[in-house]
Amino acid sequence: MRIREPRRLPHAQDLQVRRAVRLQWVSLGAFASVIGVMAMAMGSSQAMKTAWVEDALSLVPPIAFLSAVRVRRKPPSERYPYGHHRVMSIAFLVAAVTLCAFGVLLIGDAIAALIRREHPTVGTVTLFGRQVWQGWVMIAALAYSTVPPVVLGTMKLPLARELHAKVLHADAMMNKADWMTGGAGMLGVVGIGFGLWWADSAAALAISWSVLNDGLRALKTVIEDLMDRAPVPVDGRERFDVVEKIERYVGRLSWVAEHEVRLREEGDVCVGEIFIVPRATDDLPQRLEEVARTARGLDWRIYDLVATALPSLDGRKAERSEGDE
Amino acid sequence: MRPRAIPALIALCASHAALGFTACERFPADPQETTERVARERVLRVGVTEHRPWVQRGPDAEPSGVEVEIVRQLAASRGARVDWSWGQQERLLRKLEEFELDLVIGGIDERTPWQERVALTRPWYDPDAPGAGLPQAPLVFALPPGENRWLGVVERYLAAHEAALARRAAEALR
Repeated sequence: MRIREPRRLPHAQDLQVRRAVRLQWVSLGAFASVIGVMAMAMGSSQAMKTAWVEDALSLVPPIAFLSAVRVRRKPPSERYPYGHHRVMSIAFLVAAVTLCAFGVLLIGDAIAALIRREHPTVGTVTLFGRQVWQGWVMIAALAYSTVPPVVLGTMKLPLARELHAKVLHADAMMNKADWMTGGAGMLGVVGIGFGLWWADSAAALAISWSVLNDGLRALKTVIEDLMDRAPVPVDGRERFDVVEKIERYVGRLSWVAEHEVRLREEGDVCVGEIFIVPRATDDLPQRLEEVARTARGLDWRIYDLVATALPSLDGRKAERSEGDE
Repeated sequence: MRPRAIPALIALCASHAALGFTACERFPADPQETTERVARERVLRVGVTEHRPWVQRGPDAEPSGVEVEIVRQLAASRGARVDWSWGQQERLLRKLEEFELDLVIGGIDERTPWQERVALTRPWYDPDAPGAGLPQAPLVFALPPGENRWLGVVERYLAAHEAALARRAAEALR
């Protein structure tokens, strides 16, 4: 079995990966502290409980990322000749499904509470020798809970763009959106304070809806990836021209009559084939190897390319230009 | 788009909080306006169940005991008289859940399964206090669910008289 070459990241990207790993460890610690604070302040508010579950779920993507990064470092082997890097997408699939499942459960919970017309009881706690309404403690906890995710999400986002890592990008976007959870929770508690018992369940419903939405969006991203989709930028802000680079290079070669490129993404790397119809067949093996090697070096995001020669392209070039997306 | 909305949301919450502080008297509110009604009608509707030594039923159906005394004094502090309803505790708690009573007493255990359906106060009796004779769970009063201002009133009263309550509980157990 011919095993793929191990992937080598350029130095700059390698540093970014280390930074991403560090940030995910910090995320784990910070989110754990948020979970602790929320657990202490929770009481019987449905919105607080839902926000707490969402904060617990925020641990899942970093755990998925850190476990996958460990496996991904292994070089391709006899058993996995294509390498181990797809484990990242699989880990994220697990995370996305978990989020969706919990989103559905939480929505059900919130609707049930609304139907049962539960009036949330929020009493007082002893703080510094005085009886203080627990709602204030909840609001403080919710305010704190918005800070670490938003800060960390904002830090992770540029890394995700530079590393062309959709999984990290999805995680960063989820973190950044967490301020809405805290805001909704606070509005729910304030609503209770004004005697609007349903405000609590309504806020819980909004939060659960956002959990489900996060899960569905992540699910869409990872499903597309696992289905070997053609390479696209991580978001509107990434400069992504891998396909064009390869086509321009091959097109300029004098010995190439016609060519076609087929690429897919395997997580954060591009792999694929270059189909060449040569003008002449002298030195063909050496030329094909040269093309593949040079094309691989055009962009750090390209991992593996194979160049092959065909007698003709079977006139299928016209079909390709009708592609969608 | 989104990051710019953060200061707006913070301002929204801060203004809510400010509103809350200014309306401190009525914040948090009672969805069923229990506190207002007690003040307006000057009546406290209390459900009682006999549970020695905390609540005892006299020959003339007049309640007595530590918990009864606490409730009488609480009512007096609110300028209200007490309307006692004797009954089986489950029935009384159900009436409480439906807002037909303002308070239910009778040796209610803090761990009662009713904690999900009605509001329980902080314990007025703490078995960990020195001198407590019989092993007991912490005892609470039950209030209608979600009446958070009323709960605050009762809990503040219990907190303010904490030492006196502990003393009277110890005496009752001797």
